[in-house]
Amino acid sequence: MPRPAKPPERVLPDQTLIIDNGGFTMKAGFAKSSPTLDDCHTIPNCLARDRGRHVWVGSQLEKCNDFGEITFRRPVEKGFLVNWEAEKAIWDNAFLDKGAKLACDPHTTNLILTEAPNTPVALQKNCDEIVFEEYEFASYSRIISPSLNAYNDIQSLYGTPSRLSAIPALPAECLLVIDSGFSHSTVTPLFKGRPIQQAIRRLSIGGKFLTNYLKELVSIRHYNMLDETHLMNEVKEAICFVSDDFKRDLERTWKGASASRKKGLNGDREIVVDYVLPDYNAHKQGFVRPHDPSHGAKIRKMGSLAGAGDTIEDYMTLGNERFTVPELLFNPGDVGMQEEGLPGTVLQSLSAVPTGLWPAMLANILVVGGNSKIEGFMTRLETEIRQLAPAECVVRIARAPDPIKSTWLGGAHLAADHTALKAIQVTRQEYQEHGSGWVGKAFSGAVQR
Amino acid sequence: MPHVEVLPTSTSIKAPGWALVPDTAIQSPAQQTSGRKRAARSLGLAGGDTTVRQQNAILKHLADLDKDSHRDVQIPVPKDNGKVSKKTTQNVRRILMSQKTFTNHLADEEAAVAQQHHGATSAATLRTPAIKPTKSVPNLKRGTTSENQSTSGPQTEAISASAPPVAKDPLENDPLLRTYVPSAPSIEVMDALLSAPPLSYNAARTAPPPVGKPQRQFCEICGYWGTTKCMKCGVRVCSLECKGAHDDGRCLKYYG
Repeated sequence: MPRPAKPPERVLPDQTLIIDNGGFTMKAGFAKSSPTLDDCHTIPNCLARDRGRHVWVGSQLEKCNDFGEITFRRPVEKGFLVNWEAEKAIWDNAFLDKGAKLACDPHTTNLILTEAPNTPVALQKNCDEIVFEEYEFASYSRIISPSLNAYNDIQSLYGTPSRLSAIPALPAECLLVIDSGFSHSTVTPLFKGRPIQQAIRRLSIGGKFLTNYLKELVSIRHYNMLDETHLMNEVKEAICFVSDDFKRDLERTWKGASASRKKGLNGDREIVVDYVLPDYNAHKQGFVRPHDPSHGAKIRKMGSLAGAGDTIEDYMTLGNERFTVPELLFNPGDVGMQEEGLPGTVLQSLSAVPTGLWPAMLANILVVGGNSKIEGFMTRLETEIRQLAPAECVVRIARAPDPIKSTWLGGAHLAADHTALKAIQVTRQEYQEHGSGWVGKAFSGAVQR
Repeated sequence: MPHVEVLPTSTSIKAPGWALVPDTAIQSPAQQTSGRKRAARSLGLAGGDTTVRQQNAILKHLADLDKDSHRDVQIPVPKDNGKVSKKTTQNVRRILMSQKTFTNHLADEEAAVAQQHHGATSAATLRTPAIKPTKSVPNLKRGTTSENQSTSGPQTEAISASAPPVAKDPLENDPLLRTYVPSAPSIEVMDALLSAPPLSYNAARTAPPPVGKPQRQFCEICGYWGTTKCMKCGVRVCSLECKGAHDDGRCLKYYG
């Protein structure tokens, strides 16, 4: 029995949901013809349990105002979507519940889902099966997250004239994406929007690692913060910076340093700050203020003078913690990790790329991920890559306007072009016909469609 | 060194491949020093973080830093009673019930890779450069040196031919001022590279830095340079004040 030569024309629904399923937050939203960052919703990708043993799922966490001793269960482990039981609860809450901001009917929706590079095959297969058998999306594609960034308007970031709006979905030709996120930091060279898989490298340090390191340092030096991961994450985001001269800053924060040495030679601001801890009972947020070495501050801290009008406040004085923590991204050896820092990882990745592409890759480096928001990160990264790169090559490095939502936005640009979308999507019908093994091959490019 | 020779006796059997060899290796400094305690200490502490125990401590520390919380937490998914349970397929049930962690999946993947590698030596998931750099790759390390000129002659001419014409400069042909940019790879090379399968999780991990830079050591208490080691446990401290704080609560070992 000869099969029909041409498969029937595939028809995709108009609505496309893009989910950038990160370890800390999930970035999700519907595609539009001209998408903006406001179309993207950031949903905490976790189940959380507070002191009162109440469990918050995903976006419900916005209503929570007591983060003391809160514990998290995250379905994404080391950047990979492992636990579907928890993830299903979060997805149901975000996309299926009535009244959810992103409520949709999967049967009439296309899905673009991101995954971390180098995901084990078993996890990819699980993901495909859940999407088609449990949620029954009309069509679906699974893309490694850095490659979606190629669909953003990269050139305008480097100050060159932006591309013509007439050809919206043409991906950047050569792009090196540094994605430093919650679970790890990856370096991915992209050629015409497609990843060079053999050259992807990963540094096992991400935002979570930095938070835990800060938590450990503070627990040794100030208060026991081992149960306060959420708070330490806020502290990290408020105070950390990447030093441009580690040795000098370490000398300046030495406890025996004289006042003039602390200030630095040319009157820089002092590094040491106080972080006033939040009071969840009084609904007070924590905040940073310049260090106050006076006696009065110490008295207030001890609470011995706390009368009716006085406020008792707890604060901790942070010095070299501010820059030794993010320093791990550049020197993982400081905690004994046998991996090279982020600039060295970039060069290791490039060594697997033909030398002919080096100039183009080094001139188009895009940084995404939450760690790039740390003050001084970009200048340090640029300086160190410049030192390591061949002298002939121009090094241009830019941070996406919103490094957290950038991947989502790229996906939205891709989805806006219906023909480009059609080329990458696998429909539910195809899944039912060929099975999950075929789908896995289709996404890795091993099957001609 | 006295000469030791096994004399053939009636009981000794000549077994092939075995011989009594005098141990002429240089004695380690630990054996030379007098004093048992000092020897025990210098074994572990003199040469930096080299002992197995210290390596394990570092690995455990790194694993702790990569955890979500320092305690094991079990948060059950809240039951939603209002929802009608949909009929699920076997695959979905299996995946939702699965208690596998990433470590389990990683072990599975490693086993699969090992098996594949065992079966066929050309396992593509191992980290081997799929594309060998073309035969005359110029040395793209800092600065051009004269040795580059001989290796990359034809390629640079190809590039300069394709480059848009600019105003002629008398110094353009000066060999000292020429830049050497390798040509872009051909379409076939790029196609092969783009269709190569992804690396396994462990193969994609970034390699340790080249040797030469010693690890920086910091004071355990205050974070300043850790210039001195605790004689008991080997942790670094910077000053007597920090040593006191370390001894008060954090030094738990009595013997090195």
